[in-house]
Amino acid sequence: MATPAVWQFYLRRLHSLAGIFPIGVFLLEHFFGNAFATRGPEAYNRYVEFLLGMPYLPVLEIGLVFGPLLFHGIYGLFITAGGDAFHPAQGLGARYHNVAYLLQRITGIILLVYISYHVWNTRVQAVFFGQHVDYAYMARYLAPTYEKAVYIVGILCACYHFAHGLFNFAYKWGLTVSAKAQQAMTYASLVVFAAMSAVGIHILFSFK
Amino acid sequence: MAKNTIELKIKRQDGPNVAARWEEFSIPYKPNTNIISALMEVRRHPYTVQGQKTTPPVWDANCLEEVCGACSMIINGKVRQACSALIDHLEQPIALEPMTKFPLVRDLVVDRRRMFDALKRMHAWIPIDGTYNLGPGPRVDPNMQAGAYSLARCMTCGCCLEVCPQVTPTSKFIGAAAISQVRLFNMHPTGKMHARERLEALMGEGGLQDCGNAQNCVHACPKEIPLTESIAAMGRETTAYVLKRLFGG
Amino acid sequence: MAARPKTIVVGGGLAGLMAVIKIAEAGIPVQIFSFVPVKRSHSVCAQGGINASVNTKGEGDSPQIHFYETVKGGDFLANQPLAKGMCEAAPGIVYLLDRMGVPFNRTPEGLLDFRGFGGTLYSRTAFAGATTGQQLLYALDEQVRKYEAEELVEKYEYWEFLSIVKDSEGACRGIAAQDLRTMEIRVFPADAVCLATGGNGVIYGKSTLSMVCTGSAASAVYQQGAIHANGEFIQVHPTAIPGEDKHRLMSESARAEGGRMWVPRDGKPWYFLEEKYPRYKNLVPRDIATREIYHVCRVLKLGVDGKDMVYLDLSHIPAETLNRKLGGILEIYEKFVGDDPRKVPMKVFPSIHYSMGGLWIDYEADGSGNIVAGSPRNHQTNIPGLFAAGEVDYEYHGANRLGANSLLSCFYGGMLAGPAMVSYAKGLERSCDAVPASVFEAERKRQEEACGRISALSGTENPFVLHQELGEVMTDNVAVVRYNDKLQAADNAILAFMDRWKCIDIHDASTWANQAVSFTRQLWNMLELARVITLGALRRDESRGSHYKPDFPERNDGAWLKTTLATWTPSGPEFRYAPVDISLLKPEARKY
Repeated sequence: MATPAVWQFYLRRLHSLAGIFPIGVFLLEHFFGNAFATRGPEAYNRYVEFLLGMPYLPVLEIGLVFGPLLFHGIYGLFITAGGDAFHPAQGLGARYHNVAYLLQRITGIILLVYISYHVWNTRVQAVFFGQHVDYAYMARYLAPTYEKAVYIVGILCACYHFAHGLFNFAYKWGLTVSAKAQQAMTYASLVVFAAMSAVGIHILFSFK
Repeated sequence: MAKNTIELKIKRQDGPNVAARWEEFSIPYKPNTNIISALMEVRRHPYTVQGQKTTPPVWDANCLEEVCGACSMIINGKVRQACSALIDHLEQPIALEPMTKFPLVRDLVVDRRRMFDALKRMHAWIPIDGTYNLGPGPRVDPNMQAGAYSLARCMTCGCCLEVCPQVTPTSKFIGAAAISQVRLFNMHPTGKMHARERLEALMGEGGLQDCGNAQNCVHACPKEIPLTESIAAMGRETTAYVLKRLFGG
Repeated sequence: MAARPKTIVVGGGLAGLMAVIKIAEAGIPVQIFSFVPVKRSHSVCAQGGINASVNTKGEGDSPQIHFYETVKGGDFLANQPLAKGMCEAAPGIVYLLDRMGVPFNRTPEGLLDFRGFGGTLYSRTAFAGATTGQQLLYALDEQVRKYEAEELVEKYEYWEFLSIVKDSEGACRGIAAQDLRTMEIRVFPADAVCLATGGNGVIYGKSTLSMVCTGSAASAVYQQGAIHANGEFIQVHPTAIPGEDKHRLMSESARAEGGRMWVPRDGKPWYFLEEKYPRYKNLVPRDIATREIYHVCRVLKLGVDGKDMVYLDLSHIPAETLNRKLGGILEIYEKFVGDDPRKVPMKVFPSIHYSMGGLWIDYEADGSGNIVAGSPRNHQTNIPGLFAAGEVDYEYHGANRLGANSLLSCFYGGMLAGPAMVSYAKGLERSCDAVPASVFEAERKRQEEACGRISALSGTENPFVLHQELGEVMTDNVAVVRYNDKLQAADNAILAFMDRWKCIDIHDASTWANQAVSFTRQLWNMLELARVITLGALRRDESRGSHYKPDFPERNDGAWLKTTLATWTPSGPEFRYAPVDISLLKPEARKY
């Protein structure tokens, strides 16, 4: 049987995996679904109805979204605490992956706060306080500029964290071994970041 | 512009629990010299720029050809070997500091024992039946030899650990050097037979999983060892090993 | 006799580690003491390769030819049974290293590749790029680490060997050593001790050697009664890059892979070695190449730009071949000089490189000149229980060492010394545990007092300046070309240094990681050995191998085919001479 130390290996791999599946997959679905907002209130509300009408909804929400998110977030804090992101990499300056290492940790911490805030306003309000969340509610809720600013930061952080997480996943699990493959994956992750950020912000401004 | 002197700033610390201080030295300029020559000159004339006589600075060095790894230190903010740091390529005053990720011994000397301990934990050797004459070793593809040689040049100098944000004085992370050594031994025809033991060790405390993908190591390595490729390759080997263990085959 | 003997190996280079492996393999615990972490030992600097007559190139090479060339290369001063044993063991040694995982270069068929080297016309040198010594040392370091993990080997790194502990019968019963961090001096009992502490080139100030190669440990036991042999034979390597801190070796393998030596003469390259030695061309033995370069630069005044420099040219060889076979050394030239040797010829000059002489050691051979394996006499010094292996011993190479034979002799020496220590320790009637504690305590006290005296030195001299001056005197007078008046002057200078040593100002009162104290102690030991080298050279009125006196330009077998034996006395070395074992090959003229 594995010694306690070996569990760190499995936890770390699970953490990496959870970021891609189910969290990353959910993020893609979340963006894709919310993109119905760009098709107008009716399309968006039909999508919300569909979601709320899904069978086993609480199990899906807890098992595939909130559970993994909590694990990923809290274990991520432990990982962050184990390193020294602010230690200057001696003489290597602002190399991309060294900066990315820091960004991944900063975006992770921001996301913990942002997602809590986001979930409180869009899900907790609905489940525990009877708030009917639909296009009109979202448009009203996102109307103030500060709210838009918060969401822009949240979206950018989520997109970066996910996109760089793809690179990290490929590196950690050994999908990209050669320096060339790692370089290609770095570019690919930046494209994913750019594309998802554009979509996310487009959706944000579709609620009006 | 002709330079007549070399200006040096050395971070001095008499022991691990003593406060550090900077001392400045000015020594005669000579072309084509390195930091070691400068330190030797300071030892011969241990006077600071203020004219104060001081103790000879303490530093680690041996081969002076960048193959033993002893003289690693931080030179103008960059970790490297003092022997291959040529004065003519450095901006003055040249600042010399000890590495920060290892316990300080004195002045520029640190204790890199954790690196050798990691090699021990990783079973970084080829197990042989004995040293008596058992005939030739396995045949080796020349391409595999070239790959192994590039990994085998690691001199345990510590540069890759110094630049790693996951290596801290308190963290247990073994760092890129030891991970790359596991790759070296796991690719050898005989070493392969014991790959499991090394992978198990690599998945233990402070092992492969603690890498944070900052990728500074590969840029700090004076021997240009493909450390990030080694880390990813070990990621792949451990993935395959775990899947095999979970599902058999 | 205790159930398990105790053994100590001092020095963690190739010879030391091999001895450790042999002892541990016999199931006996070993303590290993090293000034630096063993992985940083000077063996890493060996570049070109290791000789073994495997004859994979179908050239008809054999260990017998290797043996002949080794003895001839050493100008017939080597004791032949050991040299023969080494050459015969060589193929097995290279195979063993290969099994240990040394990444030797390969042929397209996946077999070990071999290249030519100095003093031979055969491809006999196995190599791993151009950092063969590093790769060999790492392989042994790894094997030792395995035994360390099994707790058979205990490492004391950053410890300095101070002296051996001798019992009332004069046998070695352990060592005194100092922790270079805490400066604590301790004694360690042992049934057998092996010194594998390398060469002494640092006596010459700048050499191709590492900073730890001061010969201090050898000198310490010499001052305790161990015989030092053939000290005057110091190899000067023909091709090194002159430097301010050290001279960096430019391996003979550069010439083995086709490098050509030349100087400009009348506006054209003059390939002086190829012209004078049409058979061996650039691969004549080192002493010969070195003297030719001296002749070109100092007598003919044809050095590059009128300086002490000649060209070593690789620029005609395809860069791909160079990278594969010489990568490591080309990198050294690029890093330390700044020019690319693939494009421009390298500028080199001879440098002090290797000490053929060293501690006298014994061996046991049978009637036909074969070494008796496991005999406790093998590699034992004249002090019972004290062994020596590697560059620190005087065997194998006679008056001049062939390239790529040093790694081999280190390895073979360790392979003989380890088992010899085991049989000696097992044969002891009384183990070191039975030696009265007072014997050890006395030695510890003696060393502590000596250390205290050094710490208290408060004169005006700087030990590092003294060392620099010693190096200059030795390099100018006791190197390639030797004259008796200059040798006498050098000895006088050394005596003056010894007086000045007593006026050193330590100026570091710290009792923590005090390098000044340690260096000053070693400096004294260097001075003692410098006298052995200088006076040995002064007495030997002939030219043989690396030892060259223009006033006595011929080898004189009648008077000087003998081993120099130096014994320490308070007033300086006392010299005796012993016959050389030439039972297997009769001396002949050394022509190339």
